[in-house]
Amino acid sequence: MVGDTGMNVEVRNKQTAAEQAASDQFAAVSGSLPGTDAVAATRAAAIRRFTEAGLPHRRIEEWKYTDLRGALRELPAPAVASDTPIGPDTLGEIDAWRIVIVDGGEPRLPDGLAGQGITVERLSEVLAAGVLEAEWPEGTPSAMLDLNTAFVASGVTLRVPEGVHVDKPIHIACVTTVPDAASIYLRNSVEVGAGGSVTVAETFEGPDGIAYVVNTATRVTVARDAQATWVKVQRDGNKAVHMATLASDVGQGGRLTLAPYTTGAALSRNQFAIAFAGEHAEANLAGVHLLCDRQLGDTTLFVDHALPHGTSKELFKSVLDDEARGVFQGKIIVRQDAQKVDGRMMTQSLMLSERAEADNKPELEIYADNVQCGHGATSGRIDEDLLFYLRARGIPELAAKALLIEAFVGEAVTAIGNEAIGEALSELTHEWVSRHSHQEPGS
Amino acid sequence: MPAVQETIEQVREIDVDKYKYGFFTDIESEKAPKGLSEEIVRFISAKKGEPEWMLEWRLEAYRRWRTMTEPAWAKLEYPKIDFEDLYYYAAPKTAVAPKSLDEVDPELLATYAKLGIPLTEQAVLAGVEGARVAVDAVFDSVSVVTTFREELSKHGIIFCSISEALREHPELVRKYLGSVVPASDNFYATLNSAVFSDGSFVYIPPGVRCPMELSTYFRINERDTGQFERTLLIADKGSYVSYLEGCTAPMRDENQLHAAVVEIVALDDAEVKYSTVQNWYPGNKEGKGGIYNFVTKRGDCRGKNSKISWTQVETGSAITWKYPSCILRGDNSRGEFYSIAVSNGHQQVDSGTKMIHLGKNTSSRIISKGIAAGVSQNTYRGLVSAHAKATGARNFTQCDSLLIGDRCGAHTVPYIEAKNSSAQFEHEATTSKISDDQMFYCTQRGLSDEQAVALIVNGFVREVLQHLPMEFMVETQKLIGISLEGSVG
Repeated sequence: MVGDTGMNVEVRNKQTAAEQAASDQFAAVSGSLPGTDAVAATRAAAIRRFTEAGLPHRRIEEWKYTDLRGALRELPAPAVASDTPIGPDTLGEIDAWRIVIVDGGEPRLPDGLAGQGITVERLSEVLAAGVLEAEWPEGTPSAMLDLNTAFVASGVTLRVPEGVHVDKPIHIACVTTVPDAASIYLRNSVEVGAGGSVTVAETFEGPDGIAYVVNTATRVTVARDAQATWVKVQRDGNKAVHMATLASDVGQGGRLTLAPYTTGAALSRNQFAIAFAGEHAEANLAGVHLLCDRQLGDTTLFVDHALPHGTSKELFKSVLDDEARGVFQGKIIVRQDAQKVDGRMMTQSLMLSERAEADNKPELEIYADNVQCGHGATSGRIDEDLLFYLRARGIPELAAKALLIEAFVGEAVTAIGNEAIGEALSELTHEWVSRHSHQEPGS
Repeated sequence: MPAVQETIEQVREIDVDKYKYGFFTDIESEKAPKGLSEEIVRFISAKKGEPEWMLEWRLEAYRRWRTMTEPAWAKLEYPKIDFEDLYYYAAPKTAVAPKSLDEVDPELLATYAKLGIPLTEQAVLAGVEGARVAVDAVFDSVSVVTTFREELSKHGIIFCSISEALREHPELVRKYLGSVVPASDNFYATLNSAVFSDGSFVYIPPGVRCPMELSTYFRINERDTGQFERTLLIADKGSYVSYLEGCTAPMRDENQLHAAVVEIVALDDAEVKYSTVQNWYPGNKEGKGGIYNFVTKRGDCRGKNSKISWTQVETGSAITWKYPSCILRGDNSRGEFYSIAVSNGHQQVDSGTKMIHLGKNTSSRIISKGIAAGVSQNTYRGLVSAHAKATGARNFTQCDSLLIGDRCGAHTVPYIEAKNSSAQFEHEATTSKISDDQMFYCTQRGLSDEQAVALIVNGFVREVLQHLPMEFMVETQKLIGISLEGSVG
């Protein structure tokens, strides 16, 4: 929740270069951004809010571990859309309906998706109809979202009608090819009608060595008895900054699985919010951080149980090498009327190097008495006993370590519940681990 | 569950309104004028006959406090405190410092007798050997009497009020005061540094095992007063001490402020066990009145193999803001925190601990049991951190919350920060209500609902109860019963 702590009320410092750049860029490009007058007004209001509040910094409780204001020195200008025909590397091998968005340009849609009964609209079409949502549910922070609202021009809106089960995953591949620093704004959303089901995999990738900024906003709406799985694989370049806001709500009897899998970007922040719109709904989070060098990966989750008989399960795994920092903040709030809620959160960090840092903040805020809620958090290095067990059976040390790391991450990958995607992510984990299972750190 | 007649009667008897320690002692007292200024700080310092450096220290804290803002991050809601509308100094008007118990105002002694605090040494001596407790009693702003001093001094133990320590042992005070909680630490600690009036001072010499429990009993008596006591406890190399602290206050409609600072220093191989039963007046059942308790407690395991253990039972206060912490600086040092926080009525508790691992092979253990009833809010807020050099640090944290009633809240806010890969941290938290199965199991064996709840709650807090000194264990079990009974049924 942003805005309700007294700590946010403080004298604003001088605008940073990045904050100033946002206002200047908006003045320069606002005339050419797509959308009706109403959309333009929404954008103008968003940039005003952003200018007033500025970038979030560590004095704001939710940003305690990620000082975006200090880290984001410059905000590059919005990218110029590219027509380069390019396919994704990430999840490129899985059988899926593939939508490709290059450098925040117009999405390229696959043939045959409409045959599934799904409606696919490009964001530019939605904006032309005068729709740009700026008010998101509680728990969705405003600064990044306001910036997104001000500049966003690309993305897709998917609608799965009642009772439709999409036969294979929909893959939204967001590929960055920019040669120089640029900002890419995207907004994707999916609405699943009553009793329908869909799996969406959103992937991000881009070149190393370029300080581009990705700012993405996502809405997932799951109607009564519907099911949605939203996988987000972030493999942005090693100098990139990735900011993601995702808000979701789950209707009665619905089920939602969110699976953020993060290995990329110098700095990334996933801000996810789950709200329950009906009883007997279920929400799951299965997340992974694989971070090395001086990467900072922050996944912050807000689960709002406002209604009875909800279930939420979170499993988050971080593997941290070199001087990487992994941050997981998860807050479960159970409101007074939300009786019989079952909430379980587990966050585990595995540190491969002496200088890695794991910050975990699992929070419970509970106002209903008839609930079962719990959370657990652990951090440490590879269990010597397990290693010994494997080595005693003739497995070399490095292989044994790799095996243990993959098993550690595998638990979260399996929890996604999609075999093809699970396999592809296991393969990504394997590659990452092969690069990072080295001799005992410091020895 | 409909309330049975028995419950109704019991509740009537031991309602929040019937706070047992809510009497007021009519005693003449001397107060400084309301409000806070440099003059008041000088006045307090002069009253205490303090050395010049101490006055300077206070004034510096005061000037810094003027530039600070109240922290607002805790999960507490209360009207803004008017710091200018408080008395910062109140003392019972007895002649000069009493030389023996005979010179202490009999009204005061009667007060402590009502509280069940044995100040008369004979009375204690007449009791069971081994159950002896040396007491430093603090009434509003001043320490009225410290018992068993002679016997303690035989062992070289210094146990006196901090004002006295400033006069008798200025070198020790100067060396350690503010070395754990600096004058600039936080809003309330800084305020305390400027205006603290009294508190206890303990020094245990090297290799001495303190032969009895040391204890301080705090009581706020005067209207509109803030109580700002400061406790400094130094355990020199290889020593051991167990220290108890208890607090009460009269019932009043207005809120009273209590902002204490406790500093503990444990040198090589020393062990300090610090236990608190905090039972300040919690306010009436409409949430009117009660103590605002903003306390900074911190222990510094400065030496290798040192150990500091905090045990707290929090049943009182309208607002509790308190995080007894351990800085694990020495290699192999250990910190422990055992807490029972019971909130009922309109109480709000935001309490927890900080375990800061700096040295090698340091370990810490946190067991926190929160019980929320009525319309209270009960928050555990804790930090466990391992510095980059804290190789082999270990922590185990367990915080469980129990909700009784559907209008209260129980919250858990842990911060777990590991900057060293060999640090091994485990944290688990649960929140639940008393399960129907547990109730059924008990009632099926012939217990009433009341008895069943008492049994289950006692079991819930047992892990912490075990760590309390015997004297407090009995009191605590009663207190928990009193604090909760209004909520069952």
